Amino acid sequence: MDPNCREMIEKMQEYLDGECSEETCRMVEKHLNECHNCGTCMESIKKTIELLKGSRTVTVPDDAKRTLREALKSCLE
Amino acid sequence: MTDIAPAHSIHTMNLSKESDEKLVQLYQSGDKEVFEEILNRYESKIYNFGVKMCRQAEDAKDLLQDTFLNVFRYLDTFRGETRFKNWLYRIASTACLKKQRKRKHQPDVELSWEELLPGDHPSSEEKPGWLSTPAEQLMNKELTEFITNSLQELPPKYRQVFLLRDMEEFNTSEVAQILGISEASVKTRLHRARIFLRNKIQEQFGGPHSGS
Repeated sequence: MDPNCREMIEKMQEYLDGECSEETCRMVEKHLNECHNCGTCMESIKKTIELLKGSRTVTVPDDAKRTLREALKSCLE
Repeated sequence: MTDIAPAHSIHTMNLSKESDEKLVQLYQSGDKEVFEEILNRYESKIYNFGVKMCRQAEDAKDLLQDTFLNVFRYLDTFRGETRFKNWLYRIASTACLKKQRKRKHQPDVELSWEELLPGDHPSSEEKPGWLSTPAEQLMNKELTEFITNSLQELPPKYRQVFLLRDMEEFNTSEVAQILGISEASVKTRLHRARIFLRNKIQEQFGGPHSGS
């Protein structure tokens, strides 16, 4: 991989998170315009986050809810 | 289901509409019944954080209990220097770390860029198919399981940062505060965790490994 692209991987993520300086933003945008592969890389990171966010939420088991409330109740007494 | 509020109590306020800060204020002024609302608000989130951090349901149950017992014990001393939610996740993250140290089931190895990005640029300019497919079309039981397992392969310190930043949506400075590490460390761990997971998903869909 081009060392310039490797360096961009961290900067692209700061860009994605809206956490980079104006100067870095311009640098990333310029690089993305010139490098198709880094554009794809950034898309793949975005999609990964999207897929992980979409993974299901599990329901708290009833026995865990019950045990917790009993423990809290005994703290109150 | 056992309710921690006495059976005869009927709260005059609609607590579900109150802010966390208001609930804390009520609790600290002696209204212990509001704790049930705090539980309703965060129980599932903390349990799911536990499941993703520890993998084992039993560990997640322990984490849930340890976290809320500590919140219950120390909420009177909470001074609001940070958001309540941040304080809660700090307690959960510490409980998680303790459990991990006790069990020693997964070493906290370092992830290097050299391992994460081994290849050269792929020769093809073609975009891998999974990137153009909507996430809801890709999501199925197998992929969900695969993602859960991939998360477990992440070394714990990277997993914790990833979960707090990308799943629980705390910002970088909040994650740093919750875990007691620098913002630079949060960013380094987060960036590597994302590439690690991206590589796993890409392998699953048969795309290029480095992708860049």
